[in-house]
Amino acid sequence: MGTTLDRLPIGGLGVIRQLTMNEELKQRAAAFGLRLGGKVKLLRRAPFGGPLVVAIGGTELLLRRALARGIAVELAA
Amino acid sequence: MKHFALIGLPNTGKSTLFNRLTGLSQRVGNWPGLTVGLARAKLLLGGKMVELVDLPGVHDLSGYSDDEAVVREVLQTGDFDAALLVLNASQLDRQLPLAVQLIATSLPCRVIINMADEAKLLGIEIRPEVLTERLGVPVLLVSAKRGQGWPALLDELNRLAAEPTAPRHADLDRVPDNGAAIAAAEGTLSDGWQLPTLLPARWSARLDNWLMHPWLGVPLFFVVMAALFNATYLIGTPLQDGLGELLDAFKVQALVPLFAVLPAIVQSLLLDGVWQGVSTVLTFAPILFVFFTLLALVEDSGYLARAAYITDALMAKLGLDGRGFVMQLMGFGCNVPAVFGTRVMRERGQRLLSMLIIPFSLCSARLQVVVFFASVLFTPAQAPWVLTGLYLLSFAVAIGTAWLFKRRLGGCSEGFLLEIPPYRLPGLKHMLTRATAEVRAFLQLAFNFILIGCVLVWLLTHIPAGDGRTLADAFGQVMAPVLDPIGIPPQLAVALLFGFVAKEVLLGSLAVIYGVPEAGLGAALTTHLDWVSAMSFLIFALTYTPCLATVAAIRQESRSLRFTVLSVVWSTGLAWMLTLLFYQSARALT
Repeated sequence: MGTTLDRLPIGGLGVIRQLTMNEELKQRAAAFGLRLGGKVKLLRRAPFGGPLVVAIGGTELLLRRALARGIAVELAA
Repeated sequence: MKHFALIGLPNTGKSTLFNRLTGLSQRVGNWPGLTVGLARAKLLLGGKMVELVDLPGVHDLSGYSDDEAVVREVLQTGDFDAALLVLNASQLDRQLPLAVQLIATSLPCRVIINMADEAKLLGIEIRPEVLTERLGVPVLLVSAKRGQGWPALLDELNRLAAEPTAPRHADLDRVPDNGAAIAAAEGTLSDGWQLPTLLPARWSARLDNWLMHPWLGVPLFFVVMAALFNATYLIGTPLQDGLGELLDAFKVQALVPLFAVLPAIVQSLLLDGVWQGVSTVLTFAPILFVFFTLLALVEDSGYLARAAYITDALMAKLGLDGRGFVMQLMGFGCNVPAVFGTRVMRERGQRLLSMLIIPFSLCSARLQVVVFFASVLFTPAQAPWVLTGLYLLSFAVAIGTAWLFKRRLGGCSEGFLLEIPPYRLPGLKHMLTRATAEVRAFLQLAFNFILIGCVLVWLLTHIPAGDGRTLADAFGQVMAPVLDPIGIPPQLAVALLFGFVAKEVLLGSLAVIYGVPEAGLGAALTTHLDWVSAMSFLIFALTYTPCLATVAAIRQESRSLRFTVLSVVWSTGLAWMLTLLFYQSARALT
């Protein structure tokens, strides 16, 4: 089932299927491990529209919801 | 002499490794835009002198952030015999592409996998010999903090330095872009680096359940911050007072008799001008030292990233990120370390925006002025509300300024990505060496800046301008057209000038102006000023230009005279308009 990263349930694992953002941001995201086919797990969601914390491999990462909305993921088991 | 470049991602312990190799102290963390002042150190390797240059931490050689541009520029223009790449052992999956890119530059490389101890704790298995074979360059596993794998690293570096090489520029045209590097790195890791299927339950995660809790996180954040400030002032203030007394004693015991033979005017210049400047600068040193030690603790322990998570929702609306909030709060203690602290931010725009609003935080020196005025001019029942009102005003001014300038200065807001590192226990020695380096840097800069300011104010108050008046009196007359509409009597213009040097001397200068001892200042104020004028003076004094030390810090950190001028002009202009608004409406209503 397809959704976006910001809408994963807490603890949910997704496979990145599409990154909708400009080239520079895409590069930055890739440097942090957010890239096509990568597995990401949503760990936390800050209240009041605050940022998200995700885990990619051994790295935990903070990103804003605006960015996460541009990351389409497929729910993985 | 040979030249080696030290490259790595942020949070790889690169600086710790640099320090361990060279014995020099350098601070952890990276800062953008610093094209000069890269840390360099010479060391003897393989019988040759080698200069090691520590480059800013980067994620990607093909990227376009400030840091990445600096690294590219240095690699492309400098002659290097080799490049040493530092990677974090726990994160090879996303760091290896940088190795692929660096190897492609055709500079001789050594890959140093650092933080082996932490990776082991996480249950990660690393086989450097497999990675050496796959990458085609020697890969070494070390822990710079614990010294693990150090003899092997030194052997390898000695061998590398002894090899006859021709120094060269890095060939950046051959660097694959990030996507290609990632693809190339992908196959390399299998067998060579394995994450445990399930990371062992770490206390890091448990701690995060508290510190990043949806509604406990915010109160805990304020508890941590309150502890930090209290510790800074609990330890720093007695030191500052002690040093102040020591300097005063030195002045009275040594300088006064020493200069006694000089003409009175020269004595005054040296004691009230130059010495005043020197001692003002020096009294900042203890509090800065304590602050930087504690900031190192907050940053290196990993809490700063959690604080950013907690406060980001609010700061995002102001065009800032969560780390800016910590510095804004810090500014309520003293603006100077807060301005230095903005280094934890990566993007220059965000740093500038933070530096622009930090001076609006009511620092403790200004608080002293407020408390004094409030207690003299208002009843005990009113005074706390005046104080609260001025705090709210300072918040409102900071938020308004951020909102106004966010488009001009603030960087790309959605691109805010921050690694949440596992908690670490920073070494005490490292925190202390880092604090020492920071304080030294501040003293070097501030000395000239503040000294000149103090001497100028002395000149103003001592050079006669005819009719028994000094330049300062004349200055008051000149400023009258500007100060009249906001209800500030011309003789107070000099006090504002003193306040520019250091807010701490504002009250003292008022006492001089009214010709009373500081103890009699309260009575003098009530006879010379009504409450509307006093409030006007207060509002203006709290909002106008930050003290010289803060201006010096902004100049040093922004590396831009234009921005420094903008900061001073904006705050002074805003102060004038706010005071005008207050004074005119208060006069109209009463």
